Amino acid sequence: MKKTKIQFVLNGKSVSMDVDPETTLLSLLREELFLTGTKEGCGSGECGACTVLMDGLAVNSCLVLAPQINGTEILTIEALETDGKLDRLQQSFIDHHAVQCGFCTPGMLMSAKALLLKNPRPTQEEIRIALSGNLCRCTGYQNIIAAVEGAVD
Amino acid sequence: MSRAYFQPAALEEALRIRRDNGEASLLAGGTDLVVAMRHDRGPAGDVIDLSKILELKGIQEIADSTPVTVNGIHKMTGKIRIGPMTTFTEIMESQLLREAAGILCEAAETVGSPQIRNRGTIGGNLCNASAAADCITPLLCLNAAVELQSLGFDGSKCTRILPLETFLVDSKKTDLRSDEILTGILFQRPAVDMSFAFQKIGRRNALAIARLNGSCAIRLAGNTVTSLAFALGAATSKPERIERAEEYLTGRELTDEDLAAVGKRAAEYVLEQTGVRASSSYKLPVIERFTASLIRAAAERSTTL
Ligand SMILES: Cc1cc2nc3c(=O)[nH]c(=O)nc-3n(C[C@H](O)[C@H](O)[C@H](O)COP(=O)(O)OP(=O)(O)OC[C@H]3O[C@@H](n4cnc5c(N)ncnc54)[C@H](O)[C@@H]3O)c2cc1C
Ligand code: FES
Ligand code: FES
Repeated sequence: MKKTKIQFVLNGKSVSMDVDPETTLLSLLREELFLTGTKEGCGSGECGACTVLMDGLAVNSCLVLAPQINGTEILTIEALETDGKLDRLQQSFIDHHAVQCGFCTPGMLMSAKALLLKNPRPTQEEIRIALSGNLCRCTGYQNIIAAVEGAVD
Repeated sequence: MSRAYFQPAALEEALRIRRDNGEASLLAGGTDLVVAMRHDRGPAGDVIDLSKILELKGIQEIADSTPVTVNGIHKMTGKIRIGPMTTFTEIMESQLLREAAGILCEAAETVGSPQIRNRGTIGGNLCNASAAADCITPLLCLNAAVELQSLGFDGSKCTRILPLETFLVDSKKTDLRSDEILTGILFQRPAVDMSFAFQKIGRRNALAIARLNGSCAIRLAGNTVTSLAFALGAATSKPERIERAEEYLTGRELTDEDLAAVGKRAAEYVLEQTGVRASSSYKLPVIERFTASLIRAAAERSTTL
């Protein structure tokens, strides 16, 4: 397919590039921009491993075609850490043993980040809903939910 | 690999591209289309991305000139118009819909996951026309219509308005023509004495594509049903109103016996449509109880009961 020019903001920096319109945002991030923190699980919207923020909202990057991010702001897991300092959510995941193999963790963190951006003091029920599109096969959800609660003021 | 990707910024431009590329697919949030593309079941032609067209987004009420008074409550009446590119999240968060047609917010809340709700659109839900699509039965009970637009070769715009019921032809099949775009979903603000319910039986809470869903709109005078709209999804090949259930209950008192009887009628209708299937022995009794429980749930919300 003929390449299309897109412009977007990636983790705070403006990017302009030509993309194959059939590429997904997930492949663009991992294979062309070498941001491999975002993971590919199912590739079909079921697992949430590929979650990134698009204009502040959690989306499955495996279901977004690259040209659709034209004019938007994308935030990936790589942006959570600032100046060598972990985001509160990241620290809380460590403190609450919410990471085992770690494969689901970037997606979990981004879903949690989207929630806290919109709702800084969520209830446990709201946390559960926000993470309901993210699957974890090893840690179990209790620790993950506790970790998000731990990052709330 | 001779596909082209178009990203028009205005509806008129999109209609022109659509007119000149009959084979092209329309892309909304991509939660059905991109999955299909990945599994090689997807469309092969050009892609027209509707996601940058602001005219196709948003929810409005077009007020009628005269407010009405029902049971002493002063009410605006009007037509509600939902842009097809409105996402499930936007529907859930709309104050206007919450107050005027909360059933649609309730249905949107049950869709997939937050990520799917942030991208998936109501227009995509209708045009993909899955028998299990969650926004369809509420809209059927709201007597919604769809607005379809196309552009003639002389540049004149053509608009068709069809009842949603007519637009949905069969599973995954609509009456959308190859030069048309769905441009609006319209319904009259329901009367204040109508009450509604949406229910769905799925595999698990998140990401459950319904095995059965349905909606009910009911009006009661005392305990007597004066009007009923009842629709089931994923029961037959498309979401549809179950007329024999509606006719049976209208004019009757709402008793347990009649609710059971109406459930039987709904199940009978489904059996006639689908024939006996491996799933029938599970599904038919479920439909009976689901029907009764859904109508009961709508009635329990009625202010006149
Ligand atoms: C993990 C997962 C879970 C899901 N869970 C649910 C669920 O619980 N309930 C449910 O109902 N659905 C569910 N879905 C299906 C899907 O999210 C919905 O059907 C959604 O509404 C599709 O909208 P979209 O904007 O993503 O459409 P797209 O995928 O972009 O398009 C779908 C179809 O509609 C056509 N189309 C879109 N907009 C227009 C328009 N304006 N005019 C004409 N044609 C148009 C497209 O050409 C395409 O054929 C799920 C999907 C996934 C991947
Ligand atoms: S990889 Fe995108 S949801 Fe699983
Ligand atoms: S930590 Fe392994 S999948 Fe969640």
